Amino acid sequence: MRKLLQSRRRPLSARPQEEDVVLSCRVRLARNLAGTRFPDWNDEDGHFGVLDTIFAAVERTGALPAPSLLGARDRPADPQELALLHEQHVVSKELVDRGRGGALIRCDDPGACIMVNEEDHLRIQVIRPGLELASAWALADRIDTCLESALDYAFSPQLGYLTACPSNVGTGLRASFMVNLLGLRLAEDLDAALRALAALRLTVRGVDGEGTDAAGHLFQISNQGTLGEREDEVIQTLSEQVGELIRQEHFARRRLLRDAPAVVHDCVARALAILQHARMIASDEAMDYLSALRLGRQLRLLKNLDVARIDALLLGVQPVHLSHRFHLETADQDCRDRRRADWLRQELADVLFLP
Amino acid sequence: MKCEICHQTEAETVIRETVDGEVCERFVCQACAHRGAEPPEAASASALMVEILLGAAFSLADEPDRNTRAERENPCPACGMTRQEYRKRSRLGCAGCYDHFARELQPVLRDMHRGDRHAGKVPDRARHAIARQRLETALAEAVGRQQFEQAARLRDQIRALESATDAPAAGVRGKHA
Repeated sequence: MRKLLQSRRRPLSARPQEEDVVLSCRVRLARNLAGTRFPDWNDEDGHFGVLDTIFAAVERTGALPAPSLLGARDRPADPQELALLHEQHVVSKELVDRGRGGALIRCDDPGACIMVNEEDHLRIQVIRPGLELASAWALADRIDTCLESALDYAFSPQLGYLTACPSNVGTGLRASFMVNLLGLRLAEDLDAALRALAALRLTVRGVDGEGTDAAGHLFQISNQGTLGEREDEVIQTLSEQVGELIRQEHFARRRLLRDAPAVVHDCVARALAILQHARMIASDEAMDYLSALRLGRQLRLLKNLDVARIDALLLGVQPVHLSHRFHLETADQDCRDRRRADWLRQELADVLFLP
Repeated sequence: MKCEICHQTEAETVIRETVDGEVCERFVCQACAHRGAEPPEAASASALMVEILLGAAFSLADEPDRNTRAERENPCPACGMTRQEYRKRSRLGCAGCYDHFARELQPVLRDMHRGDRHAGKVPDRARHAIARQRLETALAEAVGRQQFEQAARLRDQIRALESATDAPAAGVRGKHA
Protein backbone atom coordinates (compact mmCIF):
# COMPACT_ATOMS: atom_id res chain seq x y z
CA MET A 1 0.00 0.00 0.00
CA ARG A 2 2.87 2.39 0.74
CA LYS A 3 4.32 1.66 -2.68
CA LEU A 4 0.94 2.50 -4.14
CA LEU A 5 0.93 5.89 -2.47
CA GLN A 6 4.42 6.73 -3.70
CA SER A 7 4.01 5.39 -7.18
CA ARG A 8 2.15 8.44 -8.42
CA ARG A 9 5.26 10.56 -8.43
CA ARG A 10 6.76 9.03 -11.49
CA PRO A 11 3.90 9.50 -13.93
CA LEU A 12 3.35 13.04 -12.75
CA SER A 13 6.82 14.51 -12.83
CA ALA A 14 7.80 16.01 -16.14
CA ARG A 15 10.26 18.39 -17.69
CA PRO A 16 9.97 22.03 -16.66
CA GLN A 17 8.07 24.34 -19.04
CA GLU A 18 5.60 21.69 -20.08
CA GLU A 19 5.07 20.30 -16.62
CA ASP A 20 3.07 23.28 -15.46
CA VAL A 21 0.53 22.79 -18.21
CA VAL A 22 0.61 19.06 -18.97
CA LEU A 23 0.42 16.82 -15.94
CA SER A 24 0.44 13.48 -17.68
CA CYS A 25 -0.58 11.65 -20.81
CA ARG A 26 -2.05 8.23 -21.34
CA VAL A 27 -2.83 5.67 -23.98
CA ARG A 28 -5.40 2.97 -23.59
CA LEU A 29 -6.28 0.17 -25.97
CA ALA A 30 -9.65 -1.59 -25.77
CA ARG A 31 -9.56 -5.27 -26.71
CA ASN A 32 -11.98 -8.19 -26.40
CA LEU A 33 -11.68 -11.93 -26.67
CA ALA A 34 -13.37 -13.57 -29.65
CA GLY A 35 -16.37 -15.77 -28.93
CA THR A 36 -16.96 -14.41 -25.44
CA ARG A 37 -19.67 -12.02 -24.29
CA PHE A 38 -18.53 -8.49 -23.47
CA PRO A 39 -18.20 -7.90 -19.68
CA ASP A 40 -21.50 -6.04 -19.17
CA TRP A 41 -23.39 -8.92 -20.73
CA ASN A 42 -21.37 -11.67 -19.04
CA ASP A 43 -21.81 -13.30 -15.61
CA GLU A 44 -19.34 -13.70 -12.76
CA ASP A 45 -18.18 -17.14 -13.87
CA GLY A 46 -17.65 -15.75 -17.35
CA HIS A 47 -15.65 -12.84 -15.92
CA PHE A 48 -13.31 -15.15 -14.05
CA GLY A 49 -12.91 -17.36 -17.12
CA VAL A 50 -11.84 -14.28 -19.11
CA LEU A 51 -9.52 -13.19 -16.30
CA ASP A 52 -7.83 -16.62 -16.14
CA THR A 53 -7.27 -16.63 -19.90
CA ILE A 54 -5.84 -13.11 -19.94
CA PHE A 55 -3.62 -13.49 -16.89
CA ALA A 56 -2.20 -16.75 -18.26
CA ALA A 57 -1.47 -14.98 -21.57
CA VAL A 58 0.25 -12.09 -19.77
CA GLU A 59 2.45 -14.52 -17.83
CA ARG A 60 3.25 -16.69 -20.83
CA THR A 61 4.13 -13.88 -23.21
CA GLY A 62 5.81 -11.58 -20.70
CA ALA A 63 3.59 -8.74 -21.96
CA LEU A 64 4.04 -7.16 -18.51
CA PRO A 65 7.21 -8.12 -16.62
CA ALA A 66 6.54 -9.81 -13.24
CA PRO A 67 2.77 -9.32 -13.40
CA SER A 68 0.63 -9.30 -10.27
CA LEU A 69 -3.10 -9.52 -9.98
CA LEU A 70 -5.47 -7.33 -7.99
CA GLY A 71 -8.89 -9.02 -7.82
CA ALA A 72 -8.23 -12.75 -8.13
CA ARG A 73 -11.01 -15.31 -7.76
CA ASP A 74 -9.77 -16.49 -4.36
CA ARG A 75 -8.42 -13.13 -3.20
CA PRO A 76 -10.81 -10.26 -3.97
CA ALA A 77 -9.36 -6.76 -4.36
CA ASP A 78 -9.32 -4.61 -1.23
CA PRO A 79 -12.01 -1.97 -1.91
CA GLN A 80 -9.88 0.75 -0.30
CA GLU A 81 -6.92 -0.06 -2.50
CA LEU A 82 -9.16 0.10 -5.56
CA ALA A 83 -10.58 3.44 -4.38
CA LEU A 84 -7.04 4.82 -3.97
CA LEU A 85 -6.14 3.66 -7.47
CA HIS A 86 -9.27 5.33 -8.75
CA GLU A 87 -8.27 8.67 -7.23
CA GLN A 88 -4.87 8.21 -8.89
CA HIS A 89 -6.72 7.74 -12.20
CA VAL A 90 -5.21 4.30 -12.63
CA VAL A 91 -8.51 2.43 -12.55
CA SER A 92 -11.88 3.70 -13.70
CA LYS A 93 -15.08 4.02 -11.72
CA GLU A 94 -16.47 1.30 -13.93
CA LEU A 95 -13.88 -1.21 -12.74
CA VAL A 96 -14.44 -0.25 -9.09
CA ASP A 97 -18.18 -0.77 -9.60
CA ARG A 98 -17.69 -4.13 -11.33
CA GLY A 99 -16.78 -5.71 -7.98
CA ARG A 100 -16.01 -9.43 -8.22
CA GLY A 101 -14.80 -10.37 -11.67
CA GLY A 102 -13.14 -7.02 -12.35
CA ALA A 103 -9.36 -7.04 -11.97
CA LEU A 104 -6.17 -5.08 -12.49
CA ILE A 105 -2.97 -6.66 -13.79
CA ARG A 106 0.03 -4.62 -12.69
CA CYS A 107 3.79 -4.84 -12.99
CA ASP A 108 6.84 -3.02 -11.62
CA ASP A 109 6.20 -0.10 -13.98
CA PRO A 110 3.50 1.88 -12.13
CA GLY A 111 2.45 3.53 -15.38
CA ALA A 112 1.63 0.30 -17.25
CA CYS A 113 -1.29 -1.96 -16.42
CA ILE A 114 -4.25 -3.89 -17.83
CA MET A 115 -7.79 -3.51 -16.53
CA VAL A 116 -9.75 -6.73 -17.00
CA ASN A 117 -13.53 -6.88 -17.37
CA GLU A 118 -14.02 -3.15 -17.32
CA GLU A 119 -16.21 -2.03 -20.25
CA ASP A 120 -14.16 -4.36 -22.46
CA HIS A 121 -12.31 -7.58 -21.59
CA LEU A 122 -8.96 -5.79 -21.73
CA ARG A 123 -8.02 -2.19 -21.30
CA ILE A 124 -4.29 -1.92 -21.84
CA GLN A 125 -3.18 1.33 -20.26
CA VAL A 126 0.08 3.26 -20.20
CA ILE A 127 0.48 6.55 -18.30
CA ARG A 128 3.53 8.74 -18.84
CA PRO A 129 4.68 12.16 -17.63
CA GLY A 130 4.33 15.32 -19.68
CA LEU A 131 4.26 15.03 -23.44
CA GLU A 132 5.62 11.50 -23.79
CA LEU A 133 2.56 10.25 -25.66
CA ALA A 134 4.57 8.58 -28.42
CA SER A 135 6.51 6.47 -25.92
CA ALA A 136 3.27 5.60 -24.11
CA TRP A 137 1.80 4.42 -27.41
CA ALA A 138 4.95 2.46 -28.26
CA LEU A 139 4.76 0.54 -24.97
CA ALA A 140 1.00 -0.08 -25.20
CA ASP A 141 1.52 -1.34 -28.75
CA ARG A 142 4.27 -3.72 -27.59
CA ILE A 143 2.13 -5.10 -24.76
CA ASP A 144 -0.75 -5.57 -27.21
CA THR A 145 1.46 -7.29 -29.79
CA CYS A 146 2.77 -9.69 -27.14
CA LEU A 147 -0.76 -10.54 -26.02
CA GLU A 148 -2.17 -11.09 -29.50
CA SER A 149 0.28 -13.96 -29.96
CA ALA A 150 -1.53 -15.77 -27.14
CA LEU A 151 -5.08 -14.41 -27.32
CA ASP A 152 -7.77 -14.52 -30.00
CA TYR A 153 -9.02 -10.97 -30.22
CA ALA A 154 -12.47 -10.07 -31.51
CA PHE A 155 -11.48 -8.41 -34.78
CA SER A 156 -13.14 -7.71 -38.10
CA PRO A 157 -11.23 -6.65 -41.22
CA GLN A 158 -13.87 -3.98 -41.90
CA LEU A 159 -14.41 -2.58 -38.37
CA GLY A 160 -11.12 -3.47 -36.68
CA TYR A 161 -11.06 -4.34 -32.97
CA LEU A 162 -14.65 -4.92 -31.84
CA THR A 163 -15.56 -3.19 -28.59
CA ALA A 164 -18.57 -3.12 -26.27
CA CYS A 165 -19.29 0.50 -27.16
CA PRO A 166 -19.30 1.44 -30.86
CA SER A 167 -17.45 4.65 -29.98
CA ASN A 168 -14.25 2.62 -29.47
CA VAL A 169 -14.49 0.25 -32.43
CA GLY A 170 -11.59 0.30 -34.92
CA THR A 171 -8.27 0.96 -33.22
CA GLY A 172 -9.74 0.83 -29.70
CA LEU A 173 -7.24 3.63 -29.01
CA ARG A 174 -7.94 6.51 -26.70
CA ALA A 175 -4.99 8.85 -26.22
CA SER A 176 -5.24 11.73 -23.79
CA PHE A 177 -3.41 14.54 -22.03
CA MET A 178 -4.25 15.96 -18.64
CA VAL A 179 -3.72 19.73 -18.75
CA ASN A 180 -4.04 22.72 -16.42
CA LEU A 181 -5.56 25.67 -18.30
CA LEU A 182 -5.89 28.24 -15.55
CA GLY A 183 -4.08 30.91 -17.61
CA LEU A 184 -6.58 30.66 -20.43
CA ARG A 185 -9.43 30.72 -17.93
CA LEU A 186 -8.15 33.87 -16.21
CA ALA A 187 -7.55 35.50 -19.60
CA GLU A 188 -11.16 34.58 -20.49
CA ASP A 189 -9.92 32.74 -23.56
CA LEU A 190 -10.78 29.28 -22.29
CA ASP A 191 -14.15 28.91 -24.03
CA ALA A 192 -12.68 29.86 -27.38
CA ALA A 193 -9.79 27.42 -26.89
CA LEU A 194 -12.16 24.60 -25.94
CA ARG A 195 -14.41 25.36 -28.92
CA ALA A 196 -11.38 25.16 -31.21
CA LEU A 197 -10.49 21.76 -29.74
CA ALA A 198 -14.03 20.51 -30.29
CA ALA A 199 -13.85 21.67 -33.93
CA LEU A 200 -10.71 19.51 -34.28
CA ARG A 201 -12.81 16.56 -33.12
CA LEU A 202 -11.12 16.30 -29.75
CA THR A 203 -13.01 15.44 -26.59
CA VAL A 204 -12.54 17.68 -23.55
CA ARG A 205 -13.69 16.54 -20.15
CA GLY A 206 -12.95 16.59 -16.45
CA VAL A 207 -10.14 14.53 -14.97
CA ASP A 208 -12.33 11.72 -13.69
CA GLY A 209 -13.21 10.72 -17.22
CA GLU A 210 -16.57 10.41 -18.85
CA GLY A 211 -19.37 12.61 -17.58
CA THR A 212 -17.36 14.68 -15.14
CA ASP A 213 -16.83 18.40 -14.86
CA ALA A 214 -13.36 19.84 -14.84
CA ALA A 215 -11.96 20.02 -11.32
CA GLY A 216 -9.29 22.54 -10.44
CA HIS A 217 -8.94 23.82 -14.01
CA LEU A 218 -7.72 20.38 -15.00
CA PHE A 219 -8.96 18.95 -18.26
CA GLN A 220 -8.51 15.69 -20.06
CA ILE A 221 -8.17 16.10 -23.81
CA SER A 222 -8.48 13.03 -25.99
CA ASN A 223 -9.05 11.87 -29.55
CA GLN A 224 -12.67 11.31 -30.50
CA GLY A 225 -12.75 8.85 -33.37
CA THR A 226 -11.27 5.36 -33.51
CA LEU A 227 -12.46 4.13 -36.91
CA GLY A 228 -10.80 5.10 -40.17
CA GLU A 229 -7.63 6.56 -38.65
CA ARG A 230 -4.23 5.01 -38.05
CA GLU A 231 -2.86 4.88 -34.51
CA ASP A 232 0.37 6.74 -35.27
CA GLU A 233 -1.55 9.52 -37.02
CA VAL A 234 -3.87 9.90 -34.04
CA ILE A 235 -0.90 10.08 -31.64
CA GLN A 236 0.97 12.60 -33.75
CA THR A 237 -2.04 14.81 -34.46
CA LEU A 238 -3.11 14.88 -30.82
CA SER A 239 0.44 15.68 -29.67
CA GLU A 240 0.67 18.55 -32.14
CA GLN A 241 -2.72 19.94 -31.18
CA VAL A 242 -2.00 19.76 -27.48
CA GLY A 243 1.41 21.30 -28.17
CA GLU A 244 -0.41 24.23 -29.73
CA LEU A 245 -2.72 24.42 -26.72
CA ILE A 246 0.32 24.57 -24.41
CA ARG A 247 1.70 27.45 -26.44
CA GLN A 248 -1.63 29.25 -26.09
CA GLU A 249 -1.67 28.64 -22.34
CA HIS A 250 1.90 29.93 -21.95
CA PHE A 251 1.06 32.92 -24.10
CA ALA A 252 -2.05 33.64 -22.02
CA ARG A 253 0.01 33.48 -18.82
CA ARG A 254 2.71 35.81 -20.16
CA ARG A 255 0.15 38.24 -21.52
CA LEU A 256 -1.78 38.25 -18.27
CA LEU A 257 1.34 38.98 -16.32
CA ARG A 258 2.24 41.84 -18.65
CA ASP A 259 -1.22 43.40 -19.08
CA ALA A 260 -3.08 42.48 -15.92
CA PRO A 261 -0.61 41.30 -13.30
CA ALA A 262 -3.05 42.14 -10.50
CA VAL A 263 -5.49 39.52 -11.81
CA VAL A 264 -2.89 36.77 -11.64
CA HIS A 265 -1.40 37.97 -8.35
CA ASP A 266 -4.85 38.12 -6.80
CA CYS A 267 -5.74 34.62 -7.98
CA VAL A 268 -2.54 33.05 -6.64
CA ALA A 269 -2.33 35.06 -3.40
CA ARG A 270 -6.00 34.44 -2.61
CA ALA A 271 -5.57 30.69 -3.20
CA LEU A 272 -2.53 30.59 -0.93
CA ALA A 273 -4.26 32.67 1.76
CA ILE A 274 -7.28 30.39 1.82
CA LEU A 275 -5.19 27.22 1.90
CA GLN A 276 -3.01 28.66 4.70
CA HIS A 277 -5.93 29.78 6.83
CA ALA A 278 -9.03 27.69 6.13
CA ARG A 279 -10.37 25.61 9.01
CA MET A 280 -12.57 23.43 6.82
CA ILE A 281 -12.14 22.77 3.12
CA ALA A 282 -13.77 20.41 0.62
CA SER A 283 -11.75 18.31 -1.80
CA ASP A 284 -12.84 20.10 -4.99
CA GLU A 285 -12.19 23.52 -3.49
CA ALA A 286 -8.75 22.49 -2.29
CA MET A 287 -7.87 21.13 -5.74
CA ASP A 288 -8.98 24.39 -7.35
CA TYR A 289 -6.66 26.43 -5.14
CA LEU A 290 -3.80 23.97 -5.45
CA SER A 291 -3.95 24.22 -9.21
CA ALA A 292 -3.80 28.01 -8.83
CA LEU A 293 -0.62 27.49 -6.79
CA ARG A 294 0.74 25.44 -9.69
CA LEU A 295 0.29 28.50 -11.91
CA GLY A 296 1.85 30.73 -9.24
CA ARG A 297 4.88 28.49 -9.08
CA GLN A 298 5.38 28.54 -12.83
CA LEU A 299 5.23 32.34 -12.79
CA ARG A 300 7.78 32.39 -9.93
CA LEU A 301 5.37 34.11 -7.57
CA LEU A 302 5.85 31.55 -4.78
CA LYS A 303 8.82 30.66 -2.59
CA ASN A 304 9.42 27.33 -0.82
CA LEU A 305 7.16 25.26 -3.03
CA ASP A 306 7.88 22.88 -5.88
CA VAL A 307 5.61 21.11 -8.34
CA ALA A 308 6.15 17.65 -6.85
CA ARG A 309 4.81 18.90 -3.53
CA ILE A 310 1.77 20.50 -5.15
CA ASP A 311 1.09 17.27 -7.02
CA ALA A 312 1.41 15.23 -3.83
CA LEU A 313 -1.12 17.55 -2.20
CA LEU A 314 -3.45 17.45 -5.23
CA LEU A 315 -3.58 13.70 -4.83
CA GLY A 316 -3.54 13.63 -1.04
CA VAL A 317 -6.50 15.97 -0.48
CA GLN A 318 -8.87 13.60 -2.26
CA PRO A 319 -11.27 11.81 0.11
CA VAL A 320 -9.89 8.26 0.01
CA HIS A 321 -6.24 9.33 0.16
CA LEU A 322 -6.94 11.71 3.03
CA SER A 323 -8.88 9.10 5.00
CA HIS A 324 -6.10 6.60 4.40
CA ARG A 325 -3.33 8.96 5.48
CA PHE A 326 -5.02 9.98 8.71
CA HIS A 327 -6.77 6.66 9.42
CA LEU A 328 -10.16 8.31 9.34
CA GLU A 329 -12.72 5.56 9.77
CA THR A 330 -15.63 7.91 9.75
CA ALA A 331 -17.63 8.79 6.69
CA ASP A 332 -18.23 12.15 8.37
CA GLN A 333 -17.49 14.75 5.72
CA ASP A 334 -17.14 17.63 8.17
CA CYS A 335 -14.48 15.72 10.01
CA ARG A 336 -12.65 15.08 6.75
CA ASP A 337 -12.92 18.73 5.71
CA ARG A 338 -11.40 19.80 9.05
CA ARG A 339 -8.56 17.30 8.78
CA ARG A 340 -7.88 18.38 5.18
CA ALA A 341 -7.70 22.03 6.17
CA ASP A 342 -5.37 21.24 9.12
CA TRP A 343 -3.06 19.26 6.88
CA LEU A 344 -2.94 21.93 4.16
CA ARG A 345 -2.20 24.68 6.71
CA GLN A 346 0.63 22.62 8.08
CA GLU A 347 2.04 21.67 4.66
CA LEU A 348 1.89 25.18 3.22
CA ALA A 349 2.88 27.14 6.35
CA ASP A 350 6.30 28.15 5.01
CA VAL A 351 5.18 29.09 1.49
CA LEU A 352 5.58 32.78 0.71
CA PHE A 353 3.91 34.93 -1.92
CA LEU A 354 6.63 37.18 -3.40
CA PRO A 355 5.55 38.96 -6.59
CA MET B 1 -27.25 4.49 -49.12
CA LYS B 2 -29.82 7.00 -50.42
CA CYS B 3 -32.74 8.29 -48.36
CA GLU B 4 -35.74 5.98 -48.71
CA ILE B 5 -38.19 8.89 -48.93
CA CYS B 6 -36.64 11.48 -51.26
CA HIS B 7 -34.08 9.13 -52.87
CA GLN B 8 -31.84 12.20 -53.31
CA THR B 9 -29.56 12.66 -50.32
CA GLU B 10 -27.55 10.13 -48.32
CA ALA B 11 -29.55 8.47 -45.53
CA GLU B 12 -28.27 9.58 -42.14
CA THR B 13 -30.79 8.29 -39.67
CA VAL B 14 -33.62 5.85 -39.16
CA ILE B 15 -37.27 6.69 -38.64
CA ARG B 16 -39.79 4.31 -37.22
CA GLU B 17 -43.34 4.58 -38.49
CA THR B 18 -46.47 2.92 -37.21
CA VAL B 19 -48.86 2.26 -40.06
CA ASP B 20 -52.01 0.29 -39.20
CA GLY B 21 -50.39 -0.99 -36.04
CA GLU B 22 -47.36 -2.30 -37.88
CA VAL B 23 -43.96 -0.78 -37.17
CA CYS B 24 -41.56 -0.37 -40.01
CA GLU B 25 -38.17 1.32 -40.25
CA ARG B 26 -36.82 3.47 -43.00
CA PHE B 27 -33.35 4.90 -43.57
CA VAL B 28 -33.77 8.57 -44.37
CA CYS B 29 -31.86 11.85 -44.64
CA GLN B 30 -32.02 14.49 -41.90
CA ALA B 31 -34.42 16.70 -43.88
CA CYS B 32 -36.95 13.92 -44.42
CA ALA B 33 -36.61 12.83 -40.80
CA HIS B 34 -37.58 16.35 -39.69
CA ARG B 35 -40.39 16.51 -42.25
CA GLY B 36 -41.60 13.22 -40.83
CA ALA B 37 -45.05 14.54 -39.92
CA GLU B 38 -45.89 15.11 -43.57
CA PRO B 39 -44.14 12.48 -45.63
CA PRO B 40 -44.70 12.75 -49.36
CA GLU B 41 -46.27 9.40 -49.93
CA ALA B 42 -47.78 8.34 -46.62
CA ALA B 43 -51.53 7.91 -46.92
CA SER B 44 -52.15 7.46 -43.21
CA ALA B 45 -50.22 10.49 -42.10
CA SER B 46 -52.29 10.90 -38.97
CA ALA B 47 -51.31 7.46 -37.76
CA LEU B 48 -47.69 8.10 -38.47
CA MET B 49 -45.33 8.38 -35.59
CA VAL B 50 -41.82 9.33 -36.35
CA GLU B 51 -39.07 8.74 -33.93
CA ILE B 52 -35.45 9.37 -34.58
CA LEU B 53 -33.97 6.17 -33.32
CA LEU B 54 -30.30 6.67 -33.63
CA GLY B 55 -27.78 9.26 -32.64
CA ALA B 56 -28.97 10.85 -29.40
CA ALA B 57 -32.10 8.72 -29.45
CA PHE B 58 -30.23 5.62 -28.37
CA SER B 59 -30.46 6.92 -24.86
CA LEU B 60 -34.19 7.61 -24.99
CA ALA B 61 -36.44 5.58 -22.74
CA ASP B 62 -37.96 2.63 -24.47
CA GLU B 63 -41.61 2.55 -25.28
CA PRO B 64 -42.29 -1.16 -25.54
CA ASP B 65 -45.86 -0.87 -26.77
CA ARG B 66 -44.62 0.75 -29.95
CA ASN B 67 -42.35 -2.14 -30.77
CA THR B 68 -43.61 -5.06 -32.73
CA ARG B 69 -42.98 -8.49 -31.34
CA ALA B 70 -40.49 -9.18 -34.10
CA GLU B 71 -38.47 -6.16 -33.00
CA ARG B 72 -38.52 -7.14 -29.36
CA GLU B 73 -37.69 -10.74 -29.97
CA ASN B 74 -34.98 -10.46 -32.54
CA PRO B 75 -32.00 -11.14 -30.33
CA CYS B 76 -28.40 -11.50 -31.46
CA PRO B 77 -28.02 -15.22 -32.22
CA ALA B 78 -24.61 -15.30 -30.57
CA CYS B 79 -25.37 -13.67 -27.20
CA GLY B 80 -29.13 -13.07 -26.99
CA MET B 81 -28.96 -9.29 -26.70
CA THR B 82 -32.09 -7.65 -28.06
CA ARG B 83 -32.24 -4.33 -29.83
CA GLN B 84 -34.23 -2.93 -26.93
CA GLU B 85 -31.56 -4.00 -24.47
CA TYR B 86 -28.86 -2.49 -26.66
CA ARG B 87 -30.69 0.83 -26.81
CA LYS B 88 -31.03 0.88 -23.06
CA ARG B 89 -27.34 0.19 -22.45
CA SER B 90 -25.78 1.76 -25.58
CA ARG B 91 -23.44 -1.18 -25.44
CA LEU B 92 -23.32 -4.36 -27.46
CA GLY B 93 -23.39 -7.85 -25.98
CA CYS B 94 -20.70 -9.55 -28.04
CA ALA B 95 -18.65 -9.27 -31.22
CA GLY B 96 -21.48 -10.97 -33.14
CA CYS B 97 -23.80 -8.02 -32.38
CA TYR B 98 -21.83 -5.96 -34.91
CA ASP B 99 -23.22 -8.22 -37.64
CA HIS B 100 -26.65 -8.60 -36.14
CA PHE B 101 -27.23 -4.87 -35.59
CA ALA B 102 -25.18 -3.80 -38.63
CA ARG B 103 -28.00 -1.80 -40.20
CA GLU B 104 -28.71 0.44 -37.26
CA LEU B 105 -25.05 0.70 -36.31
CA GLN B 106 -24.10 2.10 -39.70
CA PRO B 107 -25.34 5.68 -39.11
CA VAL B 108 -24.14 5.60 -35.49
CA LEU B 109 -20.62 4.72 -36.56
CA ARG B 110 -20.69 7.37 -39.28
CA ASP B 111 -21.60 9.94 -36.66
CA MET B 112 -18.91 8.91 -34.24
CA HIS B 113 -15.94 8.32 -36.50
CA ARG B 114 -14.01 9.83 -39.37
CA GLY B 115 -14.12 6.77 -41.58
CA ASP B 116 -16.13 3.60 -41.93
CA ARG B 117 -13.25 1.19 -42.47
CA HIS B 118 -10.53 0.15 -40.04
CA ALA B 119 -7.22 1.76 -40.98
CA GLY B 120 -5.06 0.75 -38.02
CA LYS B 121 -3.24 -2.20 -36.61
CA VAL B 122 -4.23 -5.75 -37.64
CA PRO B 123 -3.40 -8.66 -35.33
CA ASP B 124 -1.19 -11.32 -36.92
CA ARG B 125 -3.81 -14.00 -36.34
CA ALA B 126 -6.45 -11.99 -38.17
CA ARG B 127 -3.99 -11.25 -40.97
CA HIS B 128 -3.49 -14.99 -41.37
CA ALA B 129 -7.20 -15.70 -41.22
CA ILE B 130 -7.91 -13.06 -43.86
CA ALA B 131 -5.14 -14.36 -46.14
CA ARG B 132 -6.31 -17.93 -45.64
CA GLN B 133 -9.89 -17.05 -46.43
CA ARG B 134 -8.78 -15.36 -49.63
CA LEU B 135 -6.68 -18.39 -50.65
CA GLU B 136 -9.48 -20.83 -49.85
CA THR B 137 -11.92 -18.89 -52.00
CA ALA B 138 -9.40 -18.84 -54.84
CA LEU B 139 -8.80 -22.57 -54.37
CA ALA B 140 -12.51 -23.38 -54.60
CA GLU B 141 -12.75 -21.26 -57.74
CA ALA B 142 -9.72 -22.94 -59.31
CA VAL B 143 -11.15 -26.39 -58.56
CA GLY B 144 -14.48 -25.30 -60.02
CA ARG B 145 -12.71 -24.19 -63.22
CA GLN B 146 -10.71 -27.45 -63.18
CA GLN B 147 -7.42 -25.53 -63.07
CA PHE B 148 -5.71 -28.14 -60.96
CA GLU B 149 -2.14 -26.87 -61.30
CA GLN B 150 -3.18 -23.54 -59.85
CA ALA B 151 -5.27 -25.30 -57.22
CA ALA B 152 -2.21 -27.27 -56.11
CA ARG B 153 -0.18 -24.04 -55.84
CA LEU B 154 -2.93 -22.46 -53.74
CA ARG B 155 -3.14 -25.55 -51.52
CA ASP B 156 0.61 -25.35 -50.88
CA GLN B 157 0.26 -21.67 -49.99
CA ILE B 158 -2.49 -22.50 -47.49
CA ARG B 159 -0.27 -25.21 -45.94
CA ALA B 160 2.65 -22.82 -45.70
CA LEU B 161 0.42 -20.26 -43.99
CA GLU B 162 -0.84 -22.90 -41.55
CA SER B 163 2.65 -23.94 -40.52
CA ALA B 164 3.66 -20.30 -40.08
CA THR B 165 0.64 -19.70 -37.80
CA ASP B 166 1.32 -22.79 -35.69
CA ALA B 167 4.96 -21.86 -35.05
CA PRO B 168 5.53 -20.54 -31.52
CA ALA B 169 5.92 -16.80 -31.17
CA ALA B 170 9.67 -16.64 -30.65
CA GLY B 171 11.42 -13.88 -28.77
CA VAL B 172 8.28 -12.19 -27.51
CA ARG B 173 9.45 -12.21 -23.95
CA GLY B 174 12.42 -10.03 -24.85
CA LYS B 175 10.29 -7.42 -26.59
CA HIS B 176 9.19 -5.70 -23.42
CA ALA B 177 12.42 -4.14 -22.27
